[in-house]
Amino acid sequence: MATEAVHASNDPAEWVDRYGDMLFRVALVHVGDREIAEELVQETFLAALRNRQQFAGRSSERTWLVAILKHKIADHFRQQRSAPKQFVQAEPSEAEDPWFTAEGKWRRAPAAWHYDPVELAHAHEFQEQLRQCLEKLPARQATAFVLREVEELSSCEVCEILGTTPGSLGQLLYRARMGLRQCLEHHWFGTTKGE
Amino acid sequence: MLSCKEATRLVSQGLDQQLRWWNRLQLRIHLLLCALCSRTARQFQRLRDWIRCYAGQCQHQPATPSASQFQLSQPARNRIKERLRAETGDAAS
Repeated sequence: MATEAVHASNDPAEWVDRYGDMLFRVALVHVGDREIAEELVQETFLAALRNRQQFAGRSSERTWLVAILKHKIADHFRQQRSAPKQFVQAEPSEAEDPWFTAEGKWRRAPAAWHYDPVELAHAHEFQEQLRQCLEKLPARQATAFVLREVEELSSCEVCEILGTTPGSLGQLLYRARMGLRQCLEHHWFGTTKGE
Repeated sequence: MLSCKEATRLVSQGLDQQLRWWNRLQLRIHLLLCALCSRTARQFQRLRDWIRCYAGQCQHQPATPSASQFQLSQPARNRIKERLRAETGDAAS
């Protein structure tokens, strides 16, 4: 963390190579538009540059930048006068479990996916569907999923960025995985009938 | 015996951290006996592979052009760098 704090005083253009993709992905799953996401990333870096003297190194540079981005996303939706994807949305309660009965049994059997995983991984249409499913998730779930699965951050760091506990993060990631699984099953693998 | 709900939660948890030996054992037994949870475990792993591939971090093959859809584009990257350098120059002058 000390090493990252030192980076705050280096060439800010280096931030773009180090954190640009991560910030873009987080922005994109919130706003769903590449151009707006890129604009938000730029505004985030500019705000960081103007306020870097205030960066005290208490958090990692990554956490600091994501915190700025979250404000920029909120500002964006405020200007649009539209409701943001619910970054602080309360997670559904246990009573609303869409996948399991009160006894913990599957409500609907998860369908088998018939595919060539490598071929599918490279199929543009499938990637587009994957992106759409990711954007349909509640913002905190999508952000947790991107930070953990794509950026491969440790659970501790994702907790710090999201301001949550390890238990809540586990719940967010679980719901993200279940939600994505269900969305792909519905929209790509073509069955909601189960087996 | 774990319920399917508990088992799938442990599957997800196991992707993020080392499970306790007792949970690992319980989960292994459940997955041996439950085809649906076993299928879900494989699908969770696929989601991980696919999203990384989409982000241009494919394990199997070089990233395809479409992988860049989940990355900052090169023109945007250059534009932001230019903007930051201009801002730094303005501040210095």
